[in-house]
Amino acid sequence: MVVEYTVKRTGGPGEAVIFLNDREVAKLSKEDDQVTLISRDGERWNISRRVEGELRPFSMQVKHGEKSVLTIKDNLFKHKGKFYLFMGIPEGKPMREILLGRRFICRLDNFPFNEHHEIDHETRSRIRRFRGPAVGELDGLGKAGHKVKLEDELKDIGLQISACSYLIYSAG
Amino acid sequence: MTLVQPKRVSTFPFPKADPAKRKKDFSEVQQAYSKEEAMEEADRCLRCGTPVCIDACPVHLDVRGMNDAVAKGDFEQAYRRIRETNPLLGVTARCCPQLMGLCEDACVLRWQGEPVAIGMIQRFVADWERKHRQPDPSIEKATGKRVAVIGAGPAGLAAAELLRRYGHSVVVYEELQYAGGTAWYGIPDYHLPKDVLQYEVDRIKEMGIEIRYNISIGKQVTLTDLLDEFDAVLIATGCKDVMKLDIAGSNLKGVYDAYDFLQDVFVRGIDEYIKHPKYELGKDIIVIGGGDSALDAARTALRLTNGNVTIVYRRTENEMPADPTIMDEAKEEGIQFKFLAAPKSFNGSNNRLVSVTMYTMKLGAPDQTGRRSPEPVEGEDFNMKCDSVILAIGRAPNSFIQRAYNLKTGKRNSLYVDDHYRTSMERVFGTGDVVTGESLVVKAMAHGREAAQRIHEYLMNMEDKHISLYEKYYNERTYEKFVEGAYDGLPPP
Repeated sequence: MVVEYTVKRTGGPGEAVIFLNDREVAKLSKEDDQVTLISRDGERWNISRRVEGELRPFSMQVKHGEKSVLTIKDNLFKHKGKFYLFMGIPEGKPMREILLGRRFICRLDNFPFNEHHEIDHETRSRIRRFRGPAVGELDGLGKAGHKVKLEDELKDIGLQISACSYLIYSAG
Repeated sequence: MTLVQPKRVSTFPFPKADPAKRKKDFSEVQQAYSKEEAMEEADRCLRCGTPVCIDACPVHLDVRGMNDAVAKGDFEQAYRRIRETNPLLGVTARCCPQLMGLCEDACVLRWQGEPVAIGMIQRFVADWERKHRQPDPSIEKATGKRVAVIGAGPAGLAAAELLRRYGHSVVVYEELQYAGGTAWYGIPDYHLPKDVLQYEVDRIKEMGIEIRYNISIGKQVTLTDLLDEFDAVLIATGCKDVMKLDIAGSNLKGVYDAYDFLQDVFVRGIDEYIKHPKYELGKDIIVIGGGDSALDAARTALRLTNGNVTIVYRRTENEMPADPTIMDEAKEEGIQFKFLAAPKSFNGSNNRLVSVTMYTMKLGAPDQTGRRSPEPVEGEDFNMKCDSVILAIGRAPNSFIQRAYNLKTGKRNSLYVDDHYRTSMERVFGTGDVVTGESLVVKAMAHGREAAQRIHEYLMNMEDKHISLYEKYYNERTYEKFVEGAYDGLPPP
């Protein structure tokens, strides 16, 4: 993995600071139901649990102004034409090994859909049967510091991925 | 009964019956927490501000509220918290693979290797309630609307229950003489004792839901009859179309289907089956498949025969979709596994199975799911002697109604529904495994509840004000209300 973010809770679940390789790079701030990701140089992204008009579990949308930067729906997100799965099971790894501890972001190389809205009921229901190479590793509770390690292909949205990973899975 | 501490992937204590003894009967394998254990375990819950466990539960069970109440010894409140969204609480506590993408998998303490044993706590509360009966959930004023539900499986029952709570009159049509669907005939008693399911079905019926048994749609009553009598019809007929292996010898005596086998063994109760056995399994039994049904069939065959039971799977253990904790239980009981093998032909003598010729398989290129596809290795076939083979290679959606009424279908003849759970026929909705393909009991229930919500909105002309059950939970069950203790009272729909 080429980059390592650490997201550490500072107050309520929506309040945290984000470190990149031990250097503070951003913070999360929550006001009412709106979480904002603010970088050290003042850039802001709005993070919402509402995706395609409705609140869904394991779903989150990150917007920079009006532009969507990252859309996670039911643990799945698409980046540069490829689908990725949060909480994925790396190909060839025994399931019992990942029942506890570290979790993974897997790239779904042969995923048979091009867009979120095309994914049928059956595929969503059986998404944990999908496997792929691990391109991200997630570990740790937010209170202690939630670590997000990513491969190069996710580096450009690494800040947003680490913020969402913390907010969805480890804020507590 | 002798209890052993299992080698479980998780670290919490979890007593199980001694494998040497339990494999001889159908008594429950996993043993319950005591009151003290349940309270202690529940108190480990962090009561998160953003409880991921609830997000991960398909029916959005209020895990945080349940754990908090159990930790305080307030089991009445804990029951209300569960019952709010889950009418099959004792069933799901036992059947859900909680560590496989559900509540315990999501628990933030999993990051430290010790998720709260949510299923065991829920089971404790469900068992407690059976001894200390609590009031039913509230039912809204009668709407005068009538809904027919076809199929009394988990999806149909969960849908019927929610529709009833909204004040609609509900009649469920079931082709068997028992309600529960797969939970009744497909889950062995050592996982789910029938009396637990029966109690929860009875509680649902007591809310004013009529179940008409032994009625097949298209035989005793037609879909048109139902549309004449009811304002809406919900099809929840599950997965029943068995997939066949089209290889030589499939018709030999001794080649059985796992789903028929489990249904025949469990549908009238295990005692009744033992008095009137139907299957000649012999002593050497092969089960083909890698899912939970293969494990269920194998462990059931073991209990019936005390024989040598081997599960044959075409990929490796790493790719097996079955719950590893259940696999551990099977191994403890002596079930054997043979990986990277698949049947090539069934061989008989006097029309009776005597062996299976197997392909040796290897893993090739990944398929659409990313799992490497199994391929036969030429020249490395081998024979396995056996008395019987049980095939657990999957079931497709029950296609009878789709075909009979020309309803639009999806993959493998599944019932097509749109985002509103509407089929291609006016006033007819669909839900559960007949739509999604085979899934978990709790996922089928969640699908049923979402369909019920849509039907309610349709019947009350509220479709433009649709709110998902998740959003409802998210808005109503806030952390602030939790902290204020504002969750008291009977649960609303």
